Amino acid sequence: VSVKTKSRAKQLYWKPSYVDLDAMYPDLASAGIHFDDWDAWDDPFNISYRQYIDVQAKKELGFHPVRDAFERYNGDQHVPARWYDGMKLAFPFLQTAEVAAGRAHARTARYAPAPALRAAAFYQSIDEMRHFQNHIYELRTYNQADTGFDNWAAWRDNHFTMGPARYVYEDLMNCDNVFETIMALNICVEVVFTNLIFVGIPSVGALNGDTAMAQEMLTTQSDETRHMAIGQSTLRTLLRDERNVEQLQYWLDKWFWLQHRAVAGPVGLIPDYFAKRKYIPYQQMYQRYVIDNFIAGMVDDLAEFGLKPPRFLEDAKAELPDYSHTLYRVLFQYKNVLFNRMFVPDEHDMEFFTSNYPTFEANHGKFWDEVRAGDPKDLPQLPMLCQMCGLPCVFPVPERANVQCSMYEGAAYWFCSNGCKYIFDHEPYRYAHRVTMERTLNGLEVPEIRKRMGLAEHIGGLLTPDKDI
Amino acid sequence: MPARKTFVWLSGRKRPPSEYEELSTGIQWNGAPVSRTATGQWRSDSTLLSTDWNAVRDPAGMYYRNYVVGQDAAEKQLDSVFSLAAEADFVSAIDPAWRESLTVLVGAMSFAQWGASMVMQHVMRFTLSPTVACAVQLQIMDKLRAAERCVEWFEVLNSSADEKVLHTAWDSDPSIQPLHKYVEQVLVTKDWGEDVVAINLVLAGLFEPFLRELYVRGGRTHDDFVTAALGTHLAKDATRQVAWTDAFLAQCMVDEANATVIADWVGRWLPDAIAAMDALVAGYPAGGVAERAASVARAESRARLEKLNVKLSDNVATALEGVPK
Repeated sequence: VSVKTKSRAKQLYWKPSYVDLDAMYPDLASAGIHFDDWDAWDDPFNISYRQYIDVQAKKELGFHPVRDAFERYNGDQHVPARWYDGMKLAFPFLQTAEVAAGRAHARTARYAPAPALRAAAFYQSIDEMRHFQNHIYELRTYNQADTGFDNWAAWRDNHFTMGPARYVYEDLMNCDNVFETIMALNICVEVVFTNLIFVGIPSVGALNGDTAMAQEMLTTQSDETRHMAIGQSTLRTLLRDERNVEQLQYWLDKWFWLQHRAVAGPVGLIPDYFAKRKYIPYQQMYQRYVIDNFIAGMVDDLAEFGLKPPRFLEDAKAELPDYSHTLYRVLFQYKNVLFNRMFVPDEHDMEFFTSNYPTFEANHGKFWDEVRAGDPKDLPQLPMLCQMCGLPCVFPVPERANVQCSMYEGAAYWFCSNGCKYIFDHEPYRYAHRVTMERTLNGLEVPEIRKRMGLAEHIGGLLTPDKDI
Repeated sequence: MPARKTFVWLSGRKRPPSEYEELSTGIQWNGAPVSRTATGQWRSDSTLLSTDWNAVRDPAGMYYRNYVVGQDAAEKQLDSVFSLAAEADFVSAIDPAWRESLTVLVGAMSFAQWGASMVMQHVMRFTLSPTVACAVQLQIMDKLRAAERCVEWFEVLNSSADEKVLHTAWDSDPSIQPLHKYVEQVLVTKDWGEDVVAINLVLAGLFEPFLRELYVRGGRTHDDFVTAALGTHLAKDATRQVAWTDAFLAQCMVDEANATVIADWVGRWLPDAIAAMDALVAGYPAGGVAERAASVARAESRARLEKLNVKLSDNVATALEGVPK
């Protein structure tokens, strides 16, 4: 029996007879976006329930035996200890992002003006359920092998390192305009950055013995390709009306930068630091999966419609030689208030850094020399966190941090970059009320800070030398 | 062998948590929204109900993995039914009067199922309960399944009809209009708790047994095994939806304020749901099967509301007792 049945969901759209059209599909969901005939919108996949279930059941039956085998045959014994500490940061973050993405797609499924977009969003939404539940499978597996995985929900809610997940993904979920959601999620997350996360990082995971995680990430990415196609077709369709270009460009500028910060910052720690066995330096990985794939591919193709590369792309590229190193240094200074453990890079790491990052020694070498000489580098207060992205205001390097400030209604707001300030200046009402976590925690002693962030006594600190770091 | 470790919020209990609980709890966060938009996130004023949102459990214990694997097997069964029916040309042997009535009903119900799934997207977007969100996500897919299979069957029953005929049943058939109106009115209802009551308790409380009886018993009576098989599958899906809804509402009903709110909602929606079912019965000429189905539906709806201790006003109780004209 063929399962290539057509989707019939689009046929089921009707114009309301007993309530107002605007009550059923409020203009708020597409305000300012122009399109002649929403009913004629096309979806490149047009998938049916039957097809979806058939394909996804096969994927699930393929993935879970790999994960089961990893647990059953003690796969964790082949994984260096430091890898788990990277995963402690990665999976609560990913889980938050996937839940928010699922709810964002649900709103598109209910309120998008085009029936075809609504129908497509049904499948995208349940895909995100698959992703967050498969990420939790990983957390369950890791939880059998190491400490620091058992209270991830509390850390997501209360820990300053998880602030960017909330700041960026909750905000993405709460967009009023579904096309901002699509630009943020389908384009800037799924087209631009998921290859980096779900294709690049699994290569590193496999090299470090984490075959379950590698398989989980790859099967996740197999769903993302569908989401990417929907995002690309939506963007291309909307760009045909020149009245949409300015708004779409702003959303591209905004959400590229926020993903560069919230996703691409923390991700860089994995290949450069938490991977004992190195794959390729993060800078090269970013070049391959973000710059070459996205900029050389989609953005160049869309130039004929007036779309330009993201406004802060050059800022992003300029940071790459220091991005992972700066962030790791900062986290190292707060190792007593983290839920993952940190470590001092060994000789092998340093050789990798100096041979792949020409400015590493000049910008970061002294810091690690002093650590090796006995300076723990612990800081008494949390760093100043960016009002927009929630990351510390330390980039490109702490000694020359590009800290920015804006005034709004008589108050000063601080930012880590030109990109974050630019977004705030465009939408200050949306973002001014956030209270960054260092403002509520600074002045408190470490035990109290740990308590407020939900850290049990044995959580965080430094990896001990008895482990295979 | 040491016991498996679990997450902090599920530990310390006599019985270890199920896979379902580990995958479905802890997934939502709390605290003030991080951005000011009109849409906002899930928040306490998105429903009049209030309970321990993290304590809700789906008795079926469904999560993504067991859902898609289970539904893939179920879909294969329906594929076989539709395929066999086509090969043996069963459709031409169906009693013409039954087929004519069925065509209108199946066509219209595809819209109702789709509408219900749209309502549930709103519920999932705003619910405060992570486990309700998971159950709703899967219910949305069940409703999509029902909608698509109903259109498929409609197309077989009406192989020469174009798409407009499908819409005609929903848009203008008099026996369908009360149901059509009901679905639209729920679609513009913003309290997600009220949406759950209006769709899963009130409407499904009547229509799921009504359709089950009509499809399964009616199909059997009229030698129509496709409709009977379709009805059996959709009824199985509906059983899961009823189970999580009643578990959720039973937990809410413990609180007196919730009980009042739920009773008010039932009082608001139930008369219209009864009217929608009775209109279908009135427009359904196929030999008394609809009357019997409606009678069973009334009894099951009444029993379900009694089990949940929902207090009904006299006029609503009388409407539920009544015999369709």
